[in-house]
Amino acid sequence: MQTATTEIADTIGKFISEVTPAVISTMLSWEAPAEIPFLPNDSVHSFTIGNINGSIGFGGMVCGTLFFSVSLTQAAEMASALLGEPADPESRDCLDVVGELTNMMAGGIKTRLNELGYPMVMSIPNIIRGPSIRVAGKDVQFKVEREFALGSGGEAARVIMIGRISND
Amino acid sequence: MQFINDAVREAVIGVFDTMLSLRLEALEVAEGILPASTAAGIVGSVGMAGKINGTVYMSYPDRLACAIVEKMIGEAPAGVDQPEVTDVIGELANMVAGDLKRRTAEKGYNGLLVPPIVMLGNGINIDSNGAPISIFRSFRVPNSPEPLSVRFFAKLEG
Repeated sequence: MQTATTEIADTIGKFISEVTPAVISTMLSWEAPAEIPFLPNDSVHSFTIGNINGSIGFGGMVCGTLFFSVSLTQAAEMASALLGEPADPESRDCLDVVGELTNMMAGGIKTRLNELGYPMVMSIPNIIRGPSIRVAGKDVQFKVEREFALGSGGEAARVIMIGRISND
Repeated sequence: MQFINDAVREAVIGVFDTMLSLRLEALEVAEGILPASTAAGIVGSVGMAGKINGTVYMSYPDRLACAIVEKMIGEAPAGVDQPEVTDVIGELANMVAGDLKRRTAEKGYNGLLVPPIVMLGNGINIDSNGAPISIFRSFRVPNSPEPLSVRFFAKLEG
């Protein structure tokens, strides 16, 4: 029997699978990126993120944090596609694009959860950068991750959400 | 946004005094466009969403994090990556964010808290992504040569 937590985690996973390709194809005029099947190999409470990460928090009946985790190359390619000119991977433009895409993905997931009867509010995106950053989620019940082949190299970009159902 | 800047200072100093009997001394403060900075060690963060949207990040060098955990639980951790360290750093971030939320709510800006996250790494760079409110504060911690750094990036609604 599914618990409420696994049910909401599955639902969020489905929404990530819907929203991520839609945001990428709409905003960057790219073909919708294919989802890459994978076996999660790290725990709910501890996992690593990539070199450039958009991060945004949710509060409400489902609360937690969403990460959009990409490589420097992917960030530069996305910024170039959006801005119409080559972008330096370390530039402000790249960070802004990753932040904006994270915001749109989070907005899409929030809207769908609201429609299902889970009222939520979103924080604002920040960018977390660095090599080999390990994240430990505290007081979380689920971790949902989906990977997508993104950019010319087709390497995996990750969308991760950790959180819990709140009784507040 | 002086009241938010003051609230950050009071929340950090109040939580450390209450929980650890440590009297922190406020050092540097910056607002607006903050200098790029890379933190090595451990970062506790908690977001808030509602009339105030933002995230507080508290950055500790490894030695400072371990010293604080030892003071809190009475035993030195084997390293910064130990679960008791992430638990304490996450809980301190949660308490500071809770206190900050209470203070901003008194001014009409309430928000719901996001569960804490803790990040570990040798070069963690946190960027506000253009948040209208960007605050950096550092604090001297008694008996520590290294300061605690706190960043708060936020936006007020309405």
